[in-house]
Amino acid sequence: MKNFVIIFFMLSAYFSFSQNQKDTIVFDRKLEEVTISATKTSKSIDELPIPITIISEKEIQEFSASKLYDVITKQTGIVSVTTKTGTEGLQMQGLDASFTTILIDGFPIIGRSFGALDLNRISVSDIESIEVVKGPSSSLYGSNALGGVINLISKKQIDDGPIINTSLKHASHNTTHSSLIYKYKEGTFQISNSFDYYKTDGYDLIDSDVLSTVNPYSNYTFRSNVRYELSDKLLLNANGHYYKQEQINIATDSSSLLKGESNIKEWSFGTSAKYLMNSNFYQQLEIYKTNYRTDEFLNTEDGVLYEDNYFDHTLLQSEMKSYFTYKGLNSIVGFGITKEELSRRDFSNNPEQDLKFIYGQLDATAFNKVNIILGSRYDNYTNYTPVVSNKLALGFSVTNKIQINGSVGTGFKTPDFRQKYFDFTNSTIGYIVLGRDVAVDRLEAMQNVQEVVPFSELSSPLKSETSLNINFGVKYNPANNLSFDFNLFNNKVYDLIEWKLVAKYQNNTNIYSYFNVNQVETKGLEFNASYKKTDNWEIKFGYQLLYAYDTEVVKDIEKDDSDYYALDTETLTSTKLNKDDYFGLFNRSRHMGNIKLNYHLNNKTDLNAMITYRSKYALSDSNGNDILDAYDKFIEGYSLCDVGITHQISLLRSFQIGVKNIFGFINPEYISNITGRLYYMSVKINFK
Amino acid sequence: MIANNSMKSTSFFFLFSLFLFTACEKSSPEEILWWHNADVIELDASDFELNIADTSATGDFIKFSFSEGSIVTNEDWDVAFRGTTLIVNGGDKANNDQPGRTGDAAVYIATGSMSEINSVDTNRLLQDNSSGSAILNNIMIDDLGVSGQGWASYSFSTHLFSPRAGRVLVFRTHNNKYAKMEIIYFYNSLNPNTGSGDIGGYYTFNYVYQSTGEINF
Repeated sequence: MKNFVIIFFMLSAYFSFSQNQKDTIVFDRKLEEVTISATKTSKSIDELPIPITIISEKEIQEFSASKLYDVITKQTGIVSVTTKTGTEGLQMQGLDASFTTILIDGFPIIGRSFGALDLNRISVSDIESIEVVKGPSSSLYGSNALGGVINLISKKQIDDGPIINTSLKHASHNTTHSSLIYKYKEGTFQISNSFDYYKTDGYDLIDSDVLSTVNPYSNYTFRSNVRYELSDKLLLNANGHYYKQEQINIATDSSSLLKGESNIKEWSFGTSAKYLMNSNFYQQLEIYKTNYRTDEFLNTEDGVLYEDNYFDHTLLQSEMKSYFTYKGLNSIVGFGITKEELSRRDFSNNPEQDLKFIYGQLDATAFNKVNIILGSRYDNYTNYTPVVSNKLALGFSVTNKIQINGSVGTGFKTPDFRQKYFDFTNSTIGYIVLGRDVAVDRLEAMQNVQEVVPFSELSSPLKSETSLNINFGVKYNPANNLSFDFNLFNNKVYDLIEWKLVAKYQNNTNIYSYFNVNQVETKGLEFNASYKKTDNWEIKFGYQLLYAYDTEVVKDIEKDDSDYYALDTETLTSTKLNKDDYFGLFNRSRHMGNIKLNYHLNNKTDLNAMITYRSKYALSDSNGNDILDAYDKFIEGYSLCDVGITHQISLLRSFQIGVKNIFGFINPEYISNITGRLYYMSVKINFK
Repeated sequence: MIANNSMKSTSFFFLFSLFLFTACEKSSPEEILWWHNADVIELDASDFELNIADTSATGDFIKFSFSEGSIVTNEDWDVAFRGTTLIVNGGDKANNDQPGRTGDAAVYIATGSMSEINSVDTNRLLQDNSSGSAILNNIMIDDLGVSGQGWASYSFSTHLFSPRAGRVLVFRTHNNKYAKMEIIYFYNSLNPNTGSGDIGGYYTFNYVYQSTGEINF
């Protein structure tokens, strides 16, 4: 019963290797709190002056999670939302999904649909911890990391010899999830292979139509990792993954039923070499390539092809990093290139984008009390104005119980391929959407086009969306078993890209293109507390208060000649809106919170219960003034409650049983990703 | 979630599939009349159809007279409705399926609430012409409501067409009187959902008719 809890991070292999002896399976919180995502170096969470959460393996497994979605949506201030284009992705500090980068062992996941990554694509069966960095991280990770980074760290092996982990889960909707992980370690060589299979019948929230809310699908993930320490000085690493999903695709066309398939294939391969010159200096070279491809089709009832669609995105990234440590001062300098290619339907060409980047970061601890991080990154895209992202973070330990942290940073997101090269015609409704880079040529080639916006406004390229983010936090640990963590945040995002009407074509067809239009601000407070009453009881509480606005709307609504009105549904007259009537951006809840209870019955059995709450919000405007105001229809706030039991039969065997959404909350009309009560049962068996 | 969202947009056409009309009942004895919360009048307009290829519509326009305060079938109409289209009894018709114009009616859109719009800016009045509705042609009332400049707006996420609050249609009637109108609802339900069969083309509106011919309300 020794060496149970062992933390091992790839980058920290040489420096921070910690072991602890525990005779229970309960994790010690303090132990795990080492992170690599925030600084690209191994760093204790207590030394980091920026908001960061580490989700432990225990927490990942608590409710028998299969996919990242199951874990991440339980975190304070993080919610998975449906965007206005119908895709779903995570919202953090009130910022859109396109502003968060998701990494596995430091390598980015691609395959975004309208900016959002599908969290149900990412399996967590071989994941040891998930690091969530909130706040701007573009100074290390570049575009898309404007709002934060989520890094999934895969499990590493400590002891020599083979280990086999198996798990099998069955849940409602005829959902099966199984995983098989094989690891082998001998001295300085180790290999890890994991296979994960997920299959579900989907579900239907609205019986009255012929369509299902989620059609049946299945997917599998294969991940492989090989590490070899060639000598004391050289560490080689290679990893790869393959993912495939198949889903039935059903749609209707005015009268007839259309059937087809919707498939996703994804792979990646990465390799790195780390060379340790001496204890103060080491270098790492990484090369990574990944591809994401979707293929969809629909046939009519006669089997004739009705519609097909594909999307094929490739990223190649190469990066060289140098680390230098001297008397408590750590520095990192990195540079690299990325090359992206996209091929998809409704594009006028197959666009490519090249990037050269260089970044540097200094972090230091002064007087054992002050932590400083200073970072800067320069991104140079072909055909774009270069972007510089900066970050400064300062932390100060007032006493050994109180720490004050503040950080300010800038971030950016480049226009995506769709915003530049889209060429889409919807012939049923009758509209055309043109990417900014192709709009002028296409419009000039059309006859009978009536300008709404002067075409000269389209001739300059789109600007990157940029941000200024500020975080200020206090951590207070009055006792070993009690902690409070407050963080105030303010994110301003400039030059947000939206589509707007540019012209009208014959028969009144509307033509849209993309513009840098508005500026939004999200601000609020995140509060987390945890209390361990005895060795048996632990309670955690999380809350986020959020205000999210379009700053132009705020300005306009305060003007005397504001044209923002709303219908008062009681008097049936229009009333002029004032500032207090403006609720803010769509899909943002003012209040979100969670309470988690963990009861450690004995050395073998743990009981968990969790409630997550989200206050009212709205997906779109309901009264025709394009903004969300007090007179709009809102989706009512709701709570979800999960309960689960984990029982350790023996050292190598355990089972879990539980109910998600125990009160069976559903809102079929507006919330498609909440399915009502779900039962699950899973068994884990390990072989050594 | 891997929700199936493709091609749901076809539901937009349900809103055109039937055209019905709701007018308001007189309730005030004064010269200047206010009507609120009127009884709902439903009209069968099943001959109304939309050509999906070019979004052109065919079917009967429902004519309304401010002085009568009701639907009329004679030539003394002021404004007529079909689907999302409004025409006035003044100017020229754009195509042969529209009723001929016999009067002097004209229209513009003012920004403000009904009580704030208390006079007519006669310089802004426009009539229909052969290339389209007065309103449509000048992108003041925009059939699909997407330009953000009309009396209604169309949402690509809900596929609903909503009258915009604070947009008042100011009319000159067919016989040179004035009226102002605010369209409140466009569906047969106060909480419309085209997915569950609610249909558009049901107009509910407030209006004030100035029977003296003065431009002040």
